[in-house]
Amino acid sequence: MWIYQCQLAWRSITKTPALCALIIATLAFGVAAAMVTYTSHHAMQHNPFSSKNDRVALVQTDAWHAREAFPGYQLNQMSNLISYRDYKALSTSSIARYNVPIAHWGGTLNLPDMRLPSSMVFAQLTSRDYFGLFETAFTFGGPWAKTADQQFQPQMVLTHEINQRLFNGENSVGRQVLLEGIVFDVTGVLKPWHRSAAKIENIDGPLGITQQVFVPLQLVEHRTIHPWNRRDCPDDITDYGSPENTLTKGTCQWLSLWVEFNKAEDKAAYGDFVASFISEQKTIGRYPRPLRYALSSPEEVIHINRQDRSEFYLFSLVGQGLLIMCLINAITLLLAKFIRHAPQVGIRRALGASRWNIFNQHLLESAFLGLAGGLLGLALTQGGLLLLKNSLKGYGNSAHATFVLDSHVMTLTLLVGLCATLLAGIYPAWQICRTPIAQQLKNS
Amino acid sequence: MSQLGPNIRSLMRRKISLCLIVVQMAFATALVSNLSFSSHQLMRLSTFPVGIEIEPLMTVFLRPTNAQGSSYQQVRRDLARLTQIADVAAVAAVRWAPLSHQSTPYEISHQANPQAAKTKLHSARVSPEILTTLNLPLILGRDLTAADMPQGTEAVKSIIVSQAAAKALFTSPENALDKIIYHNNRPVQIVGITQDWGGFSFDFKGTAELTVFEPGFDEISSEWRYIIRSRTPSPTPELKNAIRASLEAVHTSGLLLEFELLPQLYTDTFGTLKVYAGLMVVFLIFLCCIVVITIAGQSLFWVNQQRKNLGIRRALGASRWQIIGLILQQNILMALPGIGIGVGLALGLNRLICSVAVDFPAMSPAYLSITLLALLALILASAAGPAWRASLVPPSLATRSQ
Amino acid sequence: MSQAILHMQNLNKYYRTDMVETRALADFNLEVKAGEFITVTGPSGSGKTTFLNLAGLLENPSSGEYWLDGTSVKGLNDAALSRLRNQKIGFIFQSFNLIGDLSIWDNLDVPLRYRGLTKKERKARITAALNQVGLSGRTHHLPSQLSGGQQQRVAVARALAGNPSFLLADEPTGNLDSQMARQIMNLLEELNAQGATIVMVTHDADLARRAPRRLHIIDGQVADVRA
Repeated sequence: MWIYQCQLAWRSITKTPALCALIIATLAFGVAAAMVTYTSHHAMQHNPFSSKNDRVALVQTDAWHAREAFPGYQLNQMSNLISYRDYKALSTSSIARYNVPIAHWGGTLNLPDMRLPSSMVFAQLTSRDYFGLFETAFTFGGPWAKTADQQFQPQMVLTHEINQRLFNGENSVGRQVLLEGIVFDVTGVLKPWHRSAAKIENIDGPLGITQQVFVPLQLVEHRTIHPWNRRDCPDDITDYGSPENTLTKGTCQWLSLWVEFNKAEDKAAYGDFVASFISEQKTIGRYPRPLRYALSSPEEVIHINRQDRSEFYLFSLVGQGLLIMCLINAITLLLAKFIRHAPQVGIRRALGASRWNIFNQHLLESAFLGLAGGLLGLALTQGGLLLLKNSLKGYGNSAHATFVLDSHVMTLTLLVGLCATLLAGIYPAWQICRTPIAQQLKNS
Repeated sequence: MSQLGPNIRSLMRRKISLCLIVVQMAFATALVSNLSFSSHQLMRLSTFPVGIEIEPLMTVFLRPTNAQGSSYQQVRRDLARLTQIADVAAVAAVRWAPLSHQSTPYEISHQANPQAAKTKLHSARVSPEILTTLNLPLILGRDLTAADMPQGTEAVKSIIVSQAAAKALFTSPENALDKIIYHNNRPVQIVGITQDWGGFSFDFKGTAELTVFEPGFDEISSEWRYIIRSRTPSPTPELKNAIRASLEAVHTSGLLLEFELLPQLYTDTFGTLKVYAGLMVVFLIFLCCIVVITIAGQSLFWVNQQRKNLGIRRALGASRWQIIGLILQQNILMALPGIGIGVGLALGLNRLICSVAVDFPAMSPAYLSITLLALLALILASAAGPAWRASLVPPSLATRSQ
Repeated sequence: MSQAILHMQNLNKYYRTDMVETRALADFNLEVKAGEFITVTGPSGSGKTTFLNLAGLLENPSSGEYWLDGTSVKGLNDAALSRLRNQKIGFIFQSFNLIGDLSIWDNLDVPLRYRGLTKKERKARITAALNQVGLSGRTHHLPSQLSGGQQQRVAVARALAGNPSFLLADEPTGNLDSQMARQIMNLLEELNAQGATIVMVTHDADLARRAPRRLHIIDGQVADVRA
């Protein structure tokens, strides 16, 4: 019976090729519009820490000056960043399992013998705990020594891409590289790593960077460098003597601090610790504003930084609106198509087909169209994403690097296409199967 | 020939069709108005006048390998060398490339008091040749001179601002000239006012034009930039080679050097906006196609279903034009409630856009009305085919037994 | 002698399909005077429907002359024909031909709207016509909510409301049982007694015999006229 129904559906489709092509084309485009925008939005607000959302937190404090609230765009009116001196004080706590400061820097990279042409790289200034918190996998070696976070040691972790460029992908552990005139020892090489577009890892830096090295943050106490971060500076007329002292002892906020706890309950204890730290600072005249801090989960950070409300969020709304319009369009066209079957359906009913048979036959026809629309939509989605990625490339907005058509999106696209058409097919199919036989026969 | 009453009553009986069209039109109204408005705004922004001729301009980004800071002496030496090159018309040192979306925030107050209200401008440190190189005319005051360059840790004493910045600070350029204002609680004097130009950055409010040229050079930074005007209409590869050779000859310890052409920076800066605008236009066109297909499809469906009734109407005395009018009127009537809901949706969506894209302007009622009229015209055009078809139904159909 | 409402002279109508040419009416001549009640009979395919279509201005003759209430319809454009149809002719169809998604009131309203009458006038005419057929209480019902006989009475009312020169009835009892058919026939006779001119096409010989003047069409020609 099913095979026969399929045959009938297929025959009906081939009888009106133009109308069917129109249905398939609009569906495919609607699906693609919805999926391309959904994928980009999804990438923007993807939380890489969803499995440990309640155990990972960004430390935010209200260290701003008395005359106004922090003027940044963050919804909770606190900077994503803290000062180096606060980081030093807060990282003394052993409540958190990992203390991960993140700041950005970079410069010219080469081998010590200057064999290769110099190139610019980004450098992540961080601690050994970074590799634990981000659960990065190493191809060769591992993170630098714990002691390098207390006393600067010139050690470095390379990304897969940098290792390819400098060492042709060979095991480079123990080899040396030259970054901004400093010779570093390579301790590890990361596996290729798909990075989140959400500003979790690089809360205040460029997104989707692969040409990158990792260096101990302790470097800032060892040598005068200028981190590539924004600096949120509250009013401060203290003279710290030198630029490097201003960076390490001043009140400008320029690094982000992520912490991970062994268990969610530790978060409260760490909160008390932060509060008592702020109270103590108040006694020496800092933190003039009401005591306020936040241990924001990655999900909250995405929200606070309005990443769940990026321009891609708007595009995804528009995409979904378009899909709904396509759906209605498909209903209208299917209605028009099915109504032409009325005489034939009357005869079939008279010859013994049940209402259910007729309904099935027409729903199957919609499903065929939906499948075709879904497949074409998949191709269009793929093409659209590539086009969007290519068009955005090099415009400073590197979020596009993370727009990928993975199996999740592919399945979703097909499902959306199919469900949309089935949904669109139900009403017309029901309409045609419930018409009284006599009337259908009379119309023939 | 108004058949409004019966028409409305008849439409009310086609509930499902009516609901579908209402939803469709509501979405269409909200999306068409916002997409066209937003893409229009983006295009306006991305084609906004730069005020300087950018084709012959390029910047050279320098980063000496193994350098620990840099000195203004080095800069003067490099500038002198570059001026020797035949095709170089003018050259200056500049912290940020114009139109690169990078600038130093520069807060200015009228008093030395840290509590005083501040005006935010975009600044870049420059060498005195900047106006000559950009070919940006002064409208008041004087150009920067070598004497304006601060020595050592000395504070900057004189700046040049754009006309827009002068207006923002003192309501008119005449008032602003020679005034002392405070940056980081230190006094600086406005010595010159330039014509308006595109600036370093961009935004929807046009604050990009609030620019400050601050004489000086960042000696602790180990990277800097020269901006070069070529004598040729646009910089030639030979010119780039000559510049590279000239600079590499003096930076003997190795040099990372990158050229940025201003037209390229311009497209890069506005490229994302153009991509977004393009995406919106694609969606808009698709949306219009969907509206046309839906309206045409459902009225064709209705006309085919109602051939007999149309024949009866013809037999009862309706002329062909009256039948056409009937179909068009029905389509407008079906669309109106959807469009009404859509106006609410459109304004809501616009508010959402404004909340996401800070500074994005609100849609004006005039713009909305124009979109609505265009949408109605589109609906009429889509229904015209089926209406014509309906008018061809012969009146003798009424006497044909079924 | 009263004026001829309907005057057909040497009317011909051909239908062409691909290769075959059919002559549906051949040199058809007829004159109908005001106040007459005429029935038209004939076997199927004889040209009854063609006669009806031509008389009702639903189709144009291939050749010949047709004066409707003194006006020659030759060469009139669609708008003029529509106007004539609207003002001079009241149609009553076999399958009632009420518009299904319009109420009784709105159905009667259709031809009056096309005539561009004022609201007050339309209301007066609709009320009067419905009274005449005895259906004044059902104005807001849909056609599907009425019996066949009632629907046909609505159709008669719709034809009357326009105050036409003559009523053109196409098998008005064809879809009705005999009792209903008699009722409709009585109604038509009543209307005729009040002065309406009626041309009725039927295949029912018994009904045809009740009319004072009977036409019989065979092979596109009026074969038999008995006054």
